[in-house]
Amino acid sequence: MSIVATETSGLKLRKERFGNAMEFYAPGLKRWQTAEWRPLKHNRFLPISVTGTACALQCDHCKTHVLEGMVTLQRDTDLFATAKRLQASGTEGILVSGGSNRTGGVPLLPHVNAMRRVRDELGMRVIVHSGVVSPRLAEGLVEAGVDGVMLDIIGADETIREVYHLDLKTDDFDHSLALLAERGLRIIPHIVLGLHYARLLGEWRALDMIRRYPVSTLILVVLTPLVGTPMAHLKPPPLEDVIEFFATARQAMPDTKVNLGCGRPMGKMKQEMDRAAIDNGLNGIAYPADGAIEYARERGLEPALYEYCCSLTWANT
Amino acid sequence: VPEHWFEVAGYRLCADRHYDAERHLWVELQPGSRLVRVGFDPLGRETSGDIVEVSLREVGQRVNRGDPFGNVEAAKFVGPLEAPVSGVVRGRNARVLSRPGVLNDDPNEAWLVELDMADTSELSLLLTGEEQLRTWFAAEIERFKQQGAVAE
Repeated sequence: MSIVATETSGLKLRKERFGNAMEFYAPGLKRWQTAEWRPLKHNRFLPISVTGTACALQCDHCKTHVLEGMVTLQRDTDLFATAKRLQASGTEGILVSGGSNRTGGVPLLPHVNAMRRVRDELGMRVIVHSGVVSPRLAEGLVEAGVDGVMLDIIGADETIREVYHLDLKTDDFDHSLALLAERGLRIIPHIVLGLHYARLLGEWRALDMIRRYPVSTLILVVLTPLVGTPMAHLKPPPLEDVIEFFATARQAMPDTKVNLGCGRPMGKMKQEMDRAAIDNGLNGIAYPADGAIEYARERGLEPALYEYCCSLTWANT
Repeated sequence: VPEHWFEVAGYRLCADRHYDAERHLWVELQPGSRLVRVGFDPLGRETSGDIVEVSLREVGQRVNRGDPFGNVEAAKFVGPLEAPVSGVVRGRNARVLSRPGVLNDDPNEAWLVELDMADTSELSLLLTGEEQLRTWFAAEIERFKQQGAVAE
């Protein structure tokens, strides 16, 4: 049977709209290598937490564990000085992140001037995790001139309430997208598949919200139950549900790049998931499982390897 | 059982063990033999994040220093485990293979492989003794803090 005959509609669609390049990313958020790919520099793109390991939300899937691997701002060191120090060691871009406040936003406003300087004076790329966006924060991000804004979009009120412990509605996430879009900011929304205790619930609604805005790249990540969180005992969401969502997302956003981000389960599931992402026409994969690059070739795609964050798809050309 | 444990900034190390400074693995020579056990040192464990998958070379296979004796998938590290010394794999920790999470709980106890060293002189390439270990480990903690790999 030929490869063409076994192609899914998603793979055909992505080849028609985007050509044959299959993009793989190794951002430098962790030490990583496989038999297929050994990145040259592990610290090219680093995350900085503006709150250290503090977060007011204590979401059930994270409990601040994700913040623990980030560079922390010292009290006596501002973001600019930290970025400058990292640049001296070879870092070329930063993700400015952190824990959330009680209204779901990351407290980035005190760092607007520093972010502007990091871009202008150091020439580094600056991406932010915004959380829920207020008009004031959106204005601040414009002022900072950030390269892109990443935020999780949640499409179920139950998930917002029970997992994030936030007194908000899905409309607040929709409004965040609107605020960013109105100001022409580059939007890189994420959907966490299985966020509602490892089952898909509001993901389709989130996709429906996102598709109505001019987003740069949609990033799909998959719930990974973390040790030390209330979700530690859960298994990841069913692989078939994840694969089905890949296909749905591809069809829903035929002209927008859809990438499989770095947050996803490991081991055998990761290998199967990465193959499914390729089969269903996703454009890129962060930290591909061993064998995924060769598999892309087998599917008639041409692998392109980038040592930076999979949100920076506009930087590939 | 090694006796000479001490702490550096809350991390437990053993003066009787040898440590691979680059790979952050410990090596423990078993009494009266050329057999060594190999495991993650506490910084190797912490900077790897939560370890979820481990594979190890089969018993009977020979590995040279620097060759992979297994692979690990963890939250902050995915890649090969490089042998700190040369030897033939004589044992694999079944507990670690069946439940890699034990490495997160106590890396000082959860060894990975046993290697039969043809030549124990390679141990001289590693660090050992409290004084040497204290200096090295304190510098490594600082280095990892600068990189954001451990909390400041």
